[in-house]
Amino acid sequence: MEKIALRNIKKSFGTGDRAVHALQGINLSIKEGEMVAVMGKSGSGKSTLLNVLGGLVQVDEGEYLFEGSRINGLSQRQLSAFRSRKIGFILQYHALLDDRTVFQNIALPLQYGKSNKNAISARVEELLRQLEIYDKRDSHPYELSGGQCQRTAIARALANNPDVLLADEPTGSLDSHTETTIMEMFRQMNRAGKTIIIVTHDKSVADYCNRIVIIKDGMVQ
Amino acid sequence: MIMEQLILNIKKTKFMFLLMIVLLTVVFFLLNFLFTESGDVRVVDERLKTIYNGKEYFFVSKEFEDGDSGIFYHSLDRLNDLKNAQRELMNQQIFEYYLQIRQPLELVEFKDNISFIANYREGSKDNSFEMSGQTYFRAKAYYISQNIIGKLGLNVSFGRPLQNDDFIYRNDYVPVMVGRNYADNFSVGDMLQGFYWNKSVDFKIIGILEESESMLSFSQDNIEVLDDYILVPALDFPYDPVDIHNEDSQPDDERLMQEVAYSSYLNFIITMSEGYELNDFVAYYDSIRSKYNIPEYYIADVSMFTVRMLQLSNAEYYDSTLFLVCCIAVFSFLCMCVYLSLNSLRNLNAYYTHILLGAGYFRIYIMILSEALLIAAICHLSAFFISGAVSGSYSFPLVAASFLLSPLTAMPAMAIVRKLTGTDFLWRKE
Repeated sequence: MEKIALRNIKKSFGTGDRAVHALQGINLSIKEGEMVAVMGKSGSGKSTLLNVLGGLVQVDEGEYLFEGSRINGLSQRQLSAFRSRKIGFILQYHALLDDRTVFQNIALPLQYGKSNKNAISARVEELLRQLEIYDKRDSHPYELSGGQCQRTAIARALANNPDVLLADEPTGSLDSHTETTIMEMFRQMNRAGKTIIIVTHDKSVADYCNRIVIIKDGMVQ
Repeated sequence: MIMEQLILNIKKTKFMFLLMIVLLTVVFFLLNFLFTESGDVRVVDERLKTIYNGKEYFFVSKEFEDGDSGIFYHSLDRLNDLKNAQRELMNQQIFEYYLQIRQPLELVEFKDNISFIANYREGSKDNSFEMSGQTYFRAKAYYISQNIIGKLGLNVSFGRPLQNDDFIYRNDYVPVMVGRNYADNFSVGDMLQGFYWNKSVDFKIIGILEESESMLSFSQDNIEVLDDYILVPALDFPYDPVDIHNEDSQPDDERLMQEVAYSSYLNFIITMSEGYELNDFVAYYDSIRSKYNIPEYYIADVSMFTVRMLQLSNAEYYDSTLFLVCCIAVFSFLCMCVYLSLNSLRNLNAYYTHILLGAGYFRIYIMILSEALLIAAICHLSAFFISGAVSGSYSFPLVAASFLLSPLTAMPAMAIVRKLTGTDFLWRKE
């Protein structure tokens, strides 16, 4: 079943001579349960593609379908709800909030998902155990190692049990041993049914995926 | 969630947050002062300039002594000492001697209006008392000397103001001026029964003040609107109590009244005459005290904060003061914009994380706006309490205007969040 469909997606930044045409007619189809690596040189349009998939930017042209529903054209409120329910983000530098504990960081998307306090607590505890960071529940991100930070970020991305995980260089700041551990986690999540899209430069990371999509000059090769 | 983020933001920017609170509190206080007092300022401006005239004022109060409030001295010589001391204080060149004693006047039940009752706003439960089958109320009043009324130049709507003769005891009635609100129930010529310095007397209304007539109250450090007040002359008693005999009055009553009166007149206000220092007063008063055996005393500087503020905001300086305060207000507005913008920049990563996790931009804007509103609320509360202590009133339009302007101060910060979207979310390093 087709989870994501991008049809002739175009996105530019700026105007006139200074316009940057980041995406120049992307066509991409991702099936449910796929694990896809998106590769390409710097400036090829990978980040913009990720922003489009996450509903963070509006496209100029084309159509973005998620489970058959059109995403481009949704209001900001609808996009927020879409991100909250359907997408989990995992970023290179984790994007954890330093002034909150591991527990509070993981709880954030659940709070936006309007879960009740007991449900939030139960879900976070479950994720802390699943990601093997339960003993760090009251620590702040600056007290954690890179691997623990990424586990926290993954736990947070999984909090609302989203259909799709978007990962941007998820192992870019980790040592090779931790990278292997994290990528094994992605593989397990994928086997559990999650659709995963990973933007990476690293061929060894891409090798974990079912499919590799190469982006060049804003187009799929 | 919004409150949570707000508290975290404040924790991160404690110093700047406090600085904004202090700055805006000062601005709100000054603006409130100008807005709420400006009407009074215009009214009292000329009088204020006359009475204040750049001089410093001091309270001189006798130290409390045991038995001071009871039967005092039982001695005609002692009473004469007090009388002579007061007359000497009034008739010297070193300083000007004023009496302005804010003390309730005890009146037999009259067509009372609760606003006439002293301290009713403060919830006083002791506003009335029974004596000889009659209920007495404690009405708001000022006992004033002749020179005070001369300087203040109070205007009357009906009747006449207190004149020189009214300050000399006449044994039939005590003439008083009443505030404009008394006109609803009383007329010029009406008599009120009550106590004057512990003696039962009749008060005759000889004048009703103009509406909103006001005077500088040294003890309250404020401009007091006199609509609910009675102005009572601080009488001089040219005769010895033993010389007064009639069916209503006995020498003992008279002596008690005079003792209480002259004892009270030892609480006075002075301002030094040209070329004299406070030390000259001290030397002079010490000689008087020694001569007439007057008790210990203390001198307190009248804070005159309100007076100085009013002087700044009087007709001559009002516009420039208003301009200055407006400049400070604009400066504060810009500071607030900068403060919120810097906060936005500092919190961008956090805000973007919130957006990634399902928050809408609207929620982020509310986070920013709530900080602006919180600061405005705290500053208004602080300014309200300071103003309450100083002038007692607060401008609602100022509160409304500042809350309406708060979203404007948050606009640049919101624009920063709005503008830096798209690829800025990912913070990637390739």
